[in-house]
Amino acid sequence: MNVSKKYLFMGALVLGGLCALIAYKMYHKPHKNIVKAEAVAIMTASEMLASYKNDEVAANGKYLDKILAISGTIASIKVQDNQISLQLDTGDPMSEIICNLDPFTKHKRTDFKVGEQVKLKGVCSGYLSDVVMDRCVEQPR
Amino acid sequence: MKKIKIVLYLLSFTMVNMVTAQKYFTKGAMVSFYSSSPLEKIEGVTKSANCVVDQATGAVEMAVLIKSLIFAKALMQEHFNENYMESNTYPKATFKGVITNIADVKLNSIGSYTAMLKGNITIHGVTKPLETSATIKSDGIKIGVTTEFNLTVADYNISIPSVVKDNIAKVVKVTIKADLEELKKAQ
Repeated sequence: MNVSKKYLFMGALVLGGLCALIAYKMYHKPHKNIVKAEAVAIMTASEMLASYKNDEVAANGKYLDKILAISGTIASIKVQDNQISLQLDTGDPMSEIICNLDPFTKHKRTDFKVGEQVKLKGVCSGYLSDVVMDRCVEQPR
Repeated sequence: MKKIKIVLYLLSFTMVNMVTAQKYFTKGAMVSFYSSSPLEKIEGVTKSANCVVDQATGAVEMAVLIKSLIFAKALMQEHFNENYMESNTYPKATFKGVITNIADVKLNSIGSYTAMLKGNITIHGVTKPLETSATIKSDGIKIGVTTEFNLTVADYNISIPSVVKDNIAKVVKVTIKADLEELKKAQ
């Protein structure tokens, strides 16, 4: 093997390694850091439900998959296989804002109480009988 | 007098029927999607699906928000939503059907039952018939429903690019676990 061939071979090796590294990084890219992410809208639980009840398609256009900050009173708390779900009161007995705490974040606290006022930031997943927010983290009020 | 007694007797039956004709409901049903191929295993889970079962008619309805399925890898979740399910356009998947043997499935009495489900499932804007069975366990007050079925990805107008065709199963497994409580009217 002469010198130029040797350099070519080494270059190809480095390039190949770099490609593999990029592919690996892309494949394992982390979930969006919800703690650092900026909320595109801030509203109360009842305001959020009102906009979904008023026009679901329009509300989805504005909020679906967006990071939102929602404030409200905890109506109930549900824990299901490590997933904590805080349901915020909207004033409507049939509908709440279901806020599922983010499984990828280490939360400062998880000892929430019913009746407590909270502000949560998360990603809006849409509306069934309730509005569902996933990947929620608590925000300072 | 006898007539009144008969009327009262019949009336008592309708009252009992009214009491037993409950609906069961949850907004915390677990739904998981699992694709297993030789190259990788992909799983997405939500615990925020809606499910309602009506004892009187056997009607079952379920709704799932596609975006609420959480995957271990961000990239998988992104591809699932953007490339395959197009969840901005089709944010929900739904099932509407009946328990065909509802007469044998007594939701308000303790026991374990096999419910035969028949209905239509809508995913990615495509509606297909679905027949499966579910196990329903009742403690007299609450019911636990579990079921598992397979779906063929291509049936729902979802095309998988050939580059990743070995990474994604052609048939995916859907698992549902739901604990339903009696829906009380006029609270």
